[in-house]
Amino acid sequence: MNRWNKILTIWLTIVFCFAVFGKIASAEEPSIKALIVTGQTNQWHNWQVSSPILKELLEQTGLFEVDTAISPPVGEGIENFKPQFADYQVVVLDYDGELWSEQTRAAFVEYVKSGGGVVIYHSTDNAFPDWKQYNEIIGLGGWGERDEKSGPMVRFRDGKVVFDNSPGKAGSHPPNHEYQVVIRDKEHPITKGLPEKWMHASDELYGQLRGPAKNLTVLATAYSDPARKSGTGEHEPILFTINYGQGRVFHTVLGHVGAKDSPPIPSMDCVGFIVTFQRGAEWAATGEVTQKIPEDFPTATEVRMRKSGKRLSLDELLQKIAGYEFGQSRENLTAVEEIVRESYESEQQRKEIESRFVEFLRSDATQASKQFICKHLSIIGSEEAVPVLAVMLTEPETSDMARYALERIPGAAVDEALRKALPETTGKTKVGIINTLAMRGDDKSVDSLQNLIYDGDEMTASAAAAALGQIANSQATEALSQAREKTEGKLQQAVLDAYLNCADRLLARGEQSEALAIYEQLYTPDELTPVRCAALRGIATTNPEKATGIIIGILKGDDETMQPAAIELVREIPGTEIIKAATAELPNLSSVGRVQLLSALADRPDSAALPAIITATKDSEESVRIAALKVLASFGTAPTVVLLAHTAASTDGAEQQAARESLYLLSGPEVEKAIRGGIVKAEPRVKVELIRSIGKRGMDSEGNARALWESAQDSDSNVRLESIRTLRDIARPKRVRPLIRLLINAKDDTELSEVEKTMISVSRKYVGEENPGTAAILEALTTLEEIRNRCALLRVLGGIGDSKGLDALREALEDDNAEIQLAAVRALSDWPGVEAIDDLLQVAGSTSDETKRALAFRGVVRLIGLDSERSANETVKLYKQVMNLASNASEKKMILSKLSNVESFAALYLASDYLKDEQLQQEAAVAMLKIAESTRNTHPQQTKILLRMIIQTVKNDYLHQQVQDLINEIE
Amino acid sequence: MKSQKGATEGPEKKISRRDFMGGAAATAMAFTIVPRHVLGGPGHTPPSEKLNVAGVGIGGMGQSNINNVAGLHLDANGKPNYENMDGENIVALCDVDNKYAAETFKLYPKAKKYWDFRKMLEKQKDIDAVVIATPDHTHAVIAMAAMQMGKHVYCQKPLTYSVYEARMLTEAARKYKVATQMGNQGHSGEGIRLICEWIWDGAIGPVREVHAWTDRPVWPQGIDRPEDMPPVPKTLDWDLWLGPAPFRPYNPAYLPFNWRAWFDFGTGALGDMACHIMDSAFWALKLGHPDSVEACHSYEVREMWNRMDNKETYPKASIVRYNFPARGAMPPVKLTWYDGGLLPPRPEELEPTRQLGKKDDSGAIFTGTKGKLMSGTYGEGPRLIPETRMKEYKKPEKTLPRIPTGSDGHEKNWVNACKGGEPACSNFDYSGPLTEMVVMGNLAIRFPGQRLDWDGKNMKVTNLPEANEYVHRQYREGWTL
Repeated sequence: MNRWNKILTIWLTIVFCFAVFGKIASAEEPSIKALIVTGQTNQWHNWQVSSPILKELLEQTGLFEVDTAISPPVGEGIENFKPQFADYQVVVLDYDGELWSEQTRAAFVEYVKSGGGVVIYHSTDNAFPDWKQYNEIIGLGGWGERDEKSGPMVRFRDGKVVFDNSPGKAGSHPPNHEYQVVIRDKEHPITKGLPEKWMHASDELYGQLRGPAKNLTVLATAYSDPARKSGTGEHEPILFTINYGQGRVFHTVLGHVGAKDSPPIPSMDCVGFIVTFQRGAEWAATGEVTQKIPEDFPTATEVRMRKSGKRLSLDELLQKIAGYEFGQSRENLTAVEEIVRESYESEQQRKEIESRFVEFLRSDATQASKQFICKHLSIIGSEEAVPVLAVMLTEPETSDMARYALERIPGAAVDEALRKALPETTGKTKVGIINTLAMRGDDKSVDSLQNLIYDGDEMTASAAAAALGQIANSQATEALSQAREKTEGKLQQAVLDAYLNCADRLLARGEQSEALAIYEQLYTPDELTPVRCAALRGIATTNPEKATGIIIGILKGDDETMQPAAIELVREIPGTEIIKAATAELPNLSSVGRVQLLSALADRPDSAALPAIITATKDSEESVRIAALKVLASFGTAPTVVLLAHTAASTDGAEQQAARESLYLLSGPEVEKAIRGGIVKAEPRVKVELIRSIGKRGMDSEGNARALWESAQDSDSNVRLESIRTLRDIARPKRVRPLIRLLINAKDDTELSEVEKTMISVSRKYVGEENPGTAAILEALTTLEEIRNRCALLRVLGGIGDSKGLDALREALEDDNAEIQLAAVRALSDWPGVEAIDDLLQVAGSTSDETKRALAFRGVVRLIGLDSERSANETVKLYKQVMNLASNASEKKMILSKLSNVESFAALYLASDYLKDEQLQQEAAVAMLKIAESTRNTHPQQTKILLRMIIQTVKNDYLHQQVQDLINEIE
Repeated sequence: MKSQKGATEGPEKKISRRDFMGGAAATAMAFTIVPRHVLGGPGHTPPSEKLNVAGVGIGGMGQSNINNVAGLHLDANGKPNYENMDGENIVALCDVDNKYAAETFKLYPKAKKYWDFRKMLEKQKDIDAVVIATPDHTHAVIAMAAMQMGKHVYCQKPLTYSVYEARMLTEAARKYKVATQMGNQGHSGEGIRLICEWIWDGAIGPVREVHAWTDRPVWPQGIDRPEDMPPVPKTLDWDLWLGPAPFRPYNPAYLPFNWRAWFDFGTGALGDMACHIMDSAFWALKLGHPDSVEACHSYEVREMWNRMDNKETYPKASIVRYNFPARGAMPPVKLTWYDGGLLPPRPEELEPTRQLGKKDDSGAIFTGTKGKLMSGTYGEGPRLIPETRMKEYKKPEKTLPRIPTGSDGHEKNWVNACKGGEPACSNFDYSGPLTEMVVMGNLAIRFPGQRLDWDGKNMKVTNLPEANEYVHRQYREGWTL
């Protein structure tokens, strides 16, 4: 290509790109002066890759004239770096390195103050942690020792922006992943018109950034999934703007480029990144956005990417792919695909592409590349493509790909070409063409096809038969009917198959009688079972009455091969007749048949069948009984309730299970009444079943509860226990007083313990300030004297965990009675919140009673591990404190394992102390490895030192390897 | 009695190298001045050539030592004057704290920079001598490594962190035959020599008591370990800073200056100043090992020591009493140390208008049977008191050799030794035992109120076995002496 051609091609490509992407290809000169400031990034980023891409993205819009100011490398005179900010309308910062000179800093602040535009890109917000005005300009920043002193975190909670001042380091991110960006300000010029949600390509998701956040507007957030490492569980601000003086700042945290990355960079190829960056830059410069939203913007579920760099023209691409072989890079193919996809809307473009493709197919390009072209020709092709495809059709190597295209191209010319190719081909090629004709339903091919049945080549003949079945016009039907007689063996099977298919198609077209004729023809005793089954189903669909007769005949008869199919059809044929007729036959069937028929009846609950089903619950075969019990779930009557409850009470195993499940599933107006009635009258074991069903069925009405309160005082202990358990699901929190009565009356420890559990569950259901459960118990404690009951109530207070109960427990710790003291310790150990920690520490540290100490110890360890507001370092202090209270190695191991969940260097340091103890060093090392996953980022140096201590002290090759790997990663 | 060859009586008695060579190789080289390099071996530099010197621990005092070695003068604004540099070549600078060392790095742009002294010694072969001014707990490992590689060593006071380390360095210096010097610059001064000459002259009769005191500590002491655990600044290598000390989380409470307070790193007020203030007593009274040492101090740290189950810092104020046996004709002597604002009883002989000690609130008083002698921190300005006694006193002839430019010439004194001149005045043969005595006092501080009977020769506390744990410390994994 000579030079002028080259320039022309590039120019055309650019114009093409703009046309395709819906960009503004301004006829005027670019009008906004932009400056990219770069030259230093930290060791995790790479300005040499990111800055050129940013430049290209700005230039692509046709709006910006871009200069780049590159700072000196580290240590080579940053003080001489003096970009002329004031000459530009927007300054794009891709910089994280040495502090600029005072003069440059002052110039930058002055530039922004007096109305200059700024774009903060990704890791630029890591820069300059100590430069106050810079942090006001960027709004939020991360890393560089930033913490709560730098300012709040900005959170998007419950639909609004809130500031979170809780302490902690600034900046974190999960490993790169795709995530959804949600626009929070739809009216801002930058985001106006963007879809509300869109998927961003794989990128870092910056979290817990902190800064002054003054005059900051959040444009978009992304949810940082806590299931990912370093995920925050917050909607993190991703795009935002800051007003500083007269200046406008657009801050995007997107677009990570790793130190060793080279293009393509997914995060920057993402159309979402590109568009928001381009729009953000224009807004920062002018306060307005004139760019249109391109067609290829990502959607809520789909990432959309563009190739970095200029795209090649179609001709260039075709030239490149002409040599493509399978297994090679598909990059250029993908580019062609994109061009094809973009042409869908424009007939003219499609035509143009089609003619290039036709030309391509005539060339001597590789088969692989032609196959690729055919695939796309199938979508955009027209009759124009037929001649070349027709030629390919007759060649075995190219026939398949040509067919692929032809099969989908509309028009008679295609059919003609296919028919013409039939006599010119043989074997698989011919079969392929036959299949394609069938797919296209070409009536005109029937003449040829019916002859081909007798072609001699079985494969061709079968294909021809199948094709006729598919085409299914009267000529084809007749041809197949004849062929059924004239063929045999495998070919005959193929013909029968085609014939059935033919009938199905006729039926689908509404030609019932023609279809029925075929089905009846095929439902003869001579035919193979599968054919007969298919035919019977066909008859059932076209003429149910007739089918019913046949089915009952089969159930009565001894043709077991047809029985399963017949029973299956009982399910499908509408009307009561079939049910009545079939259930009448139930006792006569084999046990397998009885089970099958009962399952079929379950799908067709019809009271006509009920007597037979009830009878079947007494069947001699267990499998039949179970099937019958399952069916009963569909019949919600009072007798069914009684039957199921009795069965559940008197059987076991799978049968009991089936009876219970059906009892729980029963529905209908009589059911609840029948259950309540049964609870009053039935024998105890049946009562138990009925009571349990109240819970399982969620029958929580007042009436049902009353029944339970009564049965909870039954003379039978099993009835009482089941009632108490069921009250857990049914009783309301205000009904704790009657529960206390049950507690007082409990006959034994089992009952007592069940009442306690019920009191706890019921009280914990309460939402609100004054828990009536706690109040009732505290009141009872003032009057009740029996030690057993007082202890039980204390345990219940512990389980409820309402702070109002805490004082009573503290008081009980000082009680004169040792049993009460122990109950209080136990209750505090079960306390659901962290409030009891100090009390338990006190007990564990002071008691001489080993049972009490061990209980308190375990409780306090559990409580420290619960979520709380305290800082990680405070948590570590607590663990250190309990370490001193641990009395043996296994208790210390328990603490080490809990400690491993604390993400703080103090935790790592504390764990390292136990490397010295041979009994504990393995656990200490394992805990350290886990903690180090977080401290490697916050305290890399010291984490390394402590990890090396593991290698020095613990003998375990596997651990050594893990530790060494982690150390290497830190380095 | 005076020797013809210039060697003197008393602790100074030693044969200069020149004399030694003259004797040993008399037949071949009698009366010839033999340049040191003729002796062969590594690091022997003729006087006419410049030494290649490396600095380890180069902020603060280290910079001052290096500038003196290099002959680099800074003006009042701290601007270097490179034109009249007349000293040695500074070829390598090593520090674990790039921020604290930055100023010195800037002064010597040609010197190669290192984080780790071990790497420096391994990689850079042209080093003749090493100046060490790191925190106390790393002196010994650095000095030992340098001497083992035949480098001459100038090391800040106290020479070592523990008694044992001092003994080992003393022996190593002899074994490797390198020139050494401890940075107690007063030892090159005029004052200490006058004190020796006067006491040996019998100016105050036999001495039975010495009192020495300091205004230190001027850093926070008697405090708890900080609880916060910030990350290590990128400019610091915490692992190397800790060196042989046990690991503890980084905290700015320890460096660059306040490490002196912490048992794990420093040697307290005693370690900081006693090598100066007790130097004159050690020399003039030829002290050697004490028989026993006892200490007492303010209460505030004891409660902390108990609570932490770990002694974190030295007390805010302490008194240490050393008991020395008779040495030759000299009677037993009690040496008492005071710090943190405590003072010895004011001598009746001192005129009411005069300050105890010198201007910096520290000094020493010698009590003899016939009078008292008072001097400043570095032995400077010794006076018999009252002043009338001083006026009457007929000073003896100055017999001890003087160091050119006195204490300002302390580094030069060592440089000359490196080049084959006389051994430096505070070489490890002298400063090793001096340091032993000083840091032995810290053993007593760990056990206040108890007398520690000391078998100096075998480095053993004979009446309190648990105290022997601190004669030497256990090094962190990866560190050896």
